[in-house]
Amino acid sequence: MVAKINYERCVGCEECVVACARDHCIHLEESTNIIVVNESTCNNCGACVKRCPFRCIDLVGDIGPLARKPSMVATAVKS
Amino acid sequence: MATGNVATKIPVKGVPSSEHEIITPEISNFIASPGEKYLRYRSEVPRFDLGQIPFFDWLFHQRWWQFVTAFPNVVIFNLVLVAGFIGVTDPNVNFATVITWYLWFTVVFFLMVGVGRGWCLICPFSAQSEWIQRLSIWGKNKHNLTLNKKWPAMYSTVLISIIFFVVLTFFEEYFNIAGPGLPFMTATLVLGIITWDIFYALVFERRSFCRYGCPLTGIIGVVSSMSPFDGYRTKNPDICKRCRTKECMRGSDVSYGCPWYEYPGSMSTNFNCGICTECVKGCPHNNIGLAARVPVADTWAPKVKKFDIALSVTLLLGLTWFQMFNALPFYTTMNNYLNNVTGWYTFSRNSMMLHGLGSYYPNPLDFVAFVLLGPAIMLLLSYMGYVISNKKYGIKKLFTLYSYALIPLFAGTILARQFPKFLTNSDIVPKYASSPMGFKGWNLLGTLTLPAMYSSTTPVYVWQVQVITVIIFGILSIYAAYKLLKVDFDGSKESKRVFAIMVTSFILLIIMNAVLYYYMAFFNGMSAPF
Repeated sequence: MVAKINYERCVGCEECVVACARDHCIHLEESTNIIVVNESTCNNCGACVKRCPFRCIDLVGDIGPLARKPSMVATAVKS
Repeated sequence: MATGNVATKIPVKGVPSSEHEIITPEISNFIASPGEKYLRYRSEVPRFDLGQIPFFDWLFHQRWWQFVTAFPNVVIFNLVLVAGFIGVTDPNVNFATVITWYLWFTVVFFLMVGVGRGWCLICPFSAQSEWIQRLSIWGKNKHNLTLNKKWPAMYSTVLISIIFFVVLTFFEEYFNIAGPGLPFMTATLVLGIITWDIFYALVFERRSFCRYGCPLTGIIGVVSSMSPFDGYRTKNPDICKRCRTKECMRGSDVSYGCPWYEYPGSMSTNFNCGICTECVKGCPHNNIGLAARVPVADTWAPKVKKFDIALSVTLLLGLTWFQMFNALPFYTTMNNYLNNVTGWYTFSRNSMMLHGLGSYYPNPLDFVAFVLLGPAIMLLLSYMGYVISNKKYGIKKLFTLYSYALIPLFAGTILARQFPKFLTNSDIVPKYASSPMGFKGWNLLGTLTLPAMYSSTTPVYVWQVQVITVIIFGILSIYAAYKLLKVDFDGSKESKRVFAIMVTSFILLIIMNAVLYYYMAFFNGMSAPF
């Protein structure tokens, strides 16, 4: 499970960053004003999901196939 | 593990480079111009906050403000429904068709260029559905009448709206709704949109219809970038950064959270600002204002330029070309040929036309071909830019950035297409407001005796206004491309080569559109066709 951002909806307000208790797990990329999630440190606690004012974060199970869907949603993962 | 072929490392302060995250191609779909220009908008675009004027500051804080702006339109469009369904069938006498197609559709475009989402502020369709959803006309209610479902992430794109608009345009042409045709068709269209809007309001949260479902939202958002107004944005981003309550998004006792899913604290484009003032009312720091700024700024200033918006611009430009070419004689020949070849002629005759509806025009094949012509031309130009820059800039990046620069040209071209009806017949609207149904003997406002007369022939100056509009807006497109060159490229000789190609092509497109407007009038006795 990992937090997945709806980038069309994400406004970069950083409420999820405030909610997240783990270091470097979720942060705002300021040059683009989008939120980036680190898959390896995310423990899918759901705090960011609850905090997001526009409900644009979901916890999803298998990131690979979802990322390949012809969706307008994007996800960042750690190398 | 990266899921794509190409990935870019994102540096994070305080994190060793080996642990930097990567940005996958899926994210890069959304970002055409990642860079360091986070605050460039604020520093480069001169602005004047209207909130500094006490009257506007007071006005924007009133809960009844949006109701007052929308209510007249609610009355008018409910009258359109009644007149359309029970009034006379002559579209040039019936108030439903007269106001909708001779006035409203052009006013919407003027509002887009002049105010941004000015129409969304006064939209009677979303006003009614929002009243139902909130169980309140203008007050703040704690309980909402909605299932409050989340709009699906995979359908969160402006392309949904653009597809609806393109499909609606096809049926509008096929049934000759905006011709104007039979008034009941116009009323059916309006009723359909109202019903559709209410359904969304009852099922989904906030203004999901306005953001994703409305056929006009895409085109309004795109053309809004021309507007000399910012939308409601933060006055001081640092205050928003420190604010932990975020009433602008979450709502408060006196305000609703942004119905458009916008955050004034980081907004760099007015694409999704419905200028409803909820954020102004909710902000405990009085940190949100509506600024006047340089027109056209949102074509180059947004820090993130999205591919789906760029694709929308090109699709809409293709649609506009269809609306221009279909007034030329060669189009009729081509359409007839395609009708015979594809069987559309037989299908139309044996289906809708049996019931007195529909026509042989347009053939879906040529309609779709024209719509796709916009993206095809932009793709070709982007490929040329890719090659001439020695593959330094990707095709997608060039497509996205320069499509944003095309917005003014598109806006001017589609605005000009509305002029013939507006400049010829909008003066008959007050006349038939006195007898909305077209019934004889009615003169409710005493305006029926006004000398205004319907005419199917436009004055000669109309095509001249169209050509001038296209040229002025076209020049703004070149200006937008120039600004893009400055803010989204690195100043290299490759970027200047690409710029040269794009601007040359823009000039050719401006000439083509201007000549098309001339020929449309030329083949119609110098009277610009409806």
